[in-house]
Amino acid sequence: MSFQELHSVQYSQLRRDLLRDKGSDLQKEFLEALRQDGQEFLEWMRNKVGITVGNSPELSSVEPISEDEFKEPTKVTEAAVFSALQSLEPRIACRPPFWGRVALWCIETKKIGKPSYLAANGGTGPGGSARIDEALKSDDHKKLDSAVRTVLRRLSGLPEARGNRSVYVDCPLARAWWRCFWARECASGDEATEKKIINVFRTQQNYWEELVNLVISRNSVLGDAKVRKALIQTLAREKAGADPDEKLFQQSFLKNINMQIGIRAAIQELGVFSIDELRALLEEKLIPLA
Amino acid sequence: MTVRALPYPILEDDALSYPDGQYNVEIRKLSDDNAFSITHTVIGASFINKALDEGRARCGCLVAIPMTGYRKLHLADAGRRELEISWEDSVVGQPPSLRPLILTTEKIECELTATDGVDEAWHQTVAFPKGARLAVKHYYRQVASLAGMLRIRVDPERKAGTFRVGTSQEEGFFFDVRVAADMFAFIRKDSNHSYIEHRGSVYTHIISKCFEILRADFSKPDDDGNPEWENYPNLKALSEQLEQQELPHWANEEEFSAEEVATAMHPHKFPMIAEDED
Repeated sequence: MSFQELHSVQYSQLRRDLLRDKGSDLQKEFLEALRQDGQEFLEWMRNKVGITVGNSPELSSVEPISEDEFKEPTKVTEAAVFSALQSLEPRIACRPPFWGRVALWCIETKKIGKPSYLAANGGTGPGGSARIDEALKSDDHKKLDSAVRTVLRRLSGLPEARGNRSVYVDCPLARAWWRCFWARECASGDEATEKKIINVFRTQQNYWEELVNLVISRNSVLGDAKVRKALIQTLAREKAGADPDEKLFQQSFLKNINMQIGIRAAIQELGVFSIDELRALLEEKLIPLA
Repeated sequence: MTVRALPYPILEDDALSYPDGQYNVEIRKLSDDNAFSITHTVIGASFINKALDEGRARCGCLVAIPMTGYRKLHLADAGRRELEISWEDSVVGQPPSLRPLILTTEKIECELTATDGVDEAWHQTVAFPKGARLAVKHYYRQVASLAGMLRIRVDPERKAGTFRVGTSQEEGFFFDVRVAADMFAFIRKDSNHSYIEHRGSVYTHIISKCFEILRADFSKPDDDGNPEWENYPNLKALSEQLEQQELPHWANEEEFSAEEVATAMHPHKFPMIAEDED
C-alpha cells in the first residue's frame, strides 16, 4: 500500500526557506497561519506543498488528542497510531514528508484540535497559541525562529537541524510508531515482553533519544537487529519493578553499554552470535562493566 | 597504513599481519538493485584459506544503512567463497553500504608459523574468538557520481528553455531537476547529435546550480555541530570525489565557487571554428 506524502522536493524547499533567516516574513506568515483555525493553516500549506498520489494515512482509530497529549502521547494513543499504520514500511516511516502528511490529516480531521499545538514545547512551558502570540507580538527574531523550529520538529521532524534522529525523536506521531515497531520487533511475538519494552522506551525522552542515536548513528553495532533485540530484551526483563533511579534506565548507561559493546565488536563481529548468546554476553560480561 | 590493537592477525589493505597477503572481492549486481553476488579471494594467507576450507571460518558481508537502523551480517555456506545477498527495499530504503569480510564461526586456538602466511610477530599461539574478523575490506557504497544524483524530469508548465533545481533528502538525497519540454527533448537526444557541445553546456549549467544549492543549504552544521551532508552516503561519495580531483569542497567558504567546480568536473566544450569564419 502506497501512502500519500507531502511532495518531497517542495517540502524540503519549504523547510529550508523557513530556516534560512530568523524572523523573516515567511516565518511570521507561517506562524500567523498556525494561529488561525485548521483550514487556514491547511490552505497555507497546500499553496506551498503538494501531496503525492496514494492512500490517505488515516488514523481513524486514534481519539482526538489535547495539546498536552500531543506533546507526550499516552501508551494507548501510541498503540492506536501504530495499529492504524501497521502496514507502513520502515523506509517510509523515517521520512519527514510522510509524517508531515499524517499531521495535516490529523489537523483536517480534528484529531489534533488546533494547528498551534505544534508550537507547544515540552514540560510546563506556555501552550502553542501563547508562544506564537508572544513571538509575533515581540517580533523577537530568536523567539520567532525558535517557535518555527519547534513546529517543524513536531510536524515531521527536522533533519536539517537535528540530523536523521529528528523524525524518531521530535515528531510525536513518528516516535509513537517507531517505539511500537521496535518493541514488536524485539519482543518476537511475546505480548507481555512487548509491553515491558514499551515501558523501557518510555523511561524518559532523553533515554529514547539516546537509544535512537545509538541505533541510527553511523554503522553502530546497535543497528544490528539481533544485538538490538538482545539488549532491549535484557533491559525489558530488568525494567519490571526496577527502582526509577536504577542505573540501567539512565541515559548515561546507554552511552556506557554502547561503548562496551563497541569495544567487544572491535574484536568480534557480533552478528555471528545467536540472540541467546548475545544476551548471555551482555548480562555476564558487558552490563557489569557499563 | 592500518594499525589495529587486536589479539590476532587480520588481513586488510595496508596492514602488516600478512606481508604477502591479498584479500580481493568481486561484487556483481544480480537481477535487480537489491541483490548482489560477492566472490572472495584470499592469496598469500594460507591460514585463512585453511580455516575456510575446514568450515571454521566463513565469507560474509555486512549490509548497513543507518537511516533505518538496518545492519545485517550475511554469511556464505561453509567452504564457499561466493555469497549472494539481497535485502528488502521496504526496510532499507536507500542504497546500503556493503562491507565484505571473512570471520571465524567458532573459537580457534593454534600455533601460527611462517607457512600460515603471517608476519614473524605472529609466530606464536594465537586465540581467535568466535566472530574474529580474519579479513576485511572497506565499505562499498553504490551511488558515487553526481550524474547519479540528478533526477531530470519534464515539467510541461515550464516556460520554454527554462529549468529549476530542487533537492529531496528522502531517498538518500537527489537533485530534482524540472526542465521545460523543449529542453527535455533536447538533452535526451542521442549523443551523436551535432549539438553535443550545447547539450554538455546545459548539463554543466545544471550541475553548477546543484553546487550552489549544496553551498547555500548543505554546508552549515546541524544543531549538534555535524555537517548535514554527512548524513547522506552519496554526498559523502561526492565529497570524496572532489577531494580526489583536488577541487574545493562546497563547505569551504574561502575557496569554493560553484561554477568553477562544475566546469572543472564537466568543462564546456566548443566546436572548432574555421579561421576564416567571423
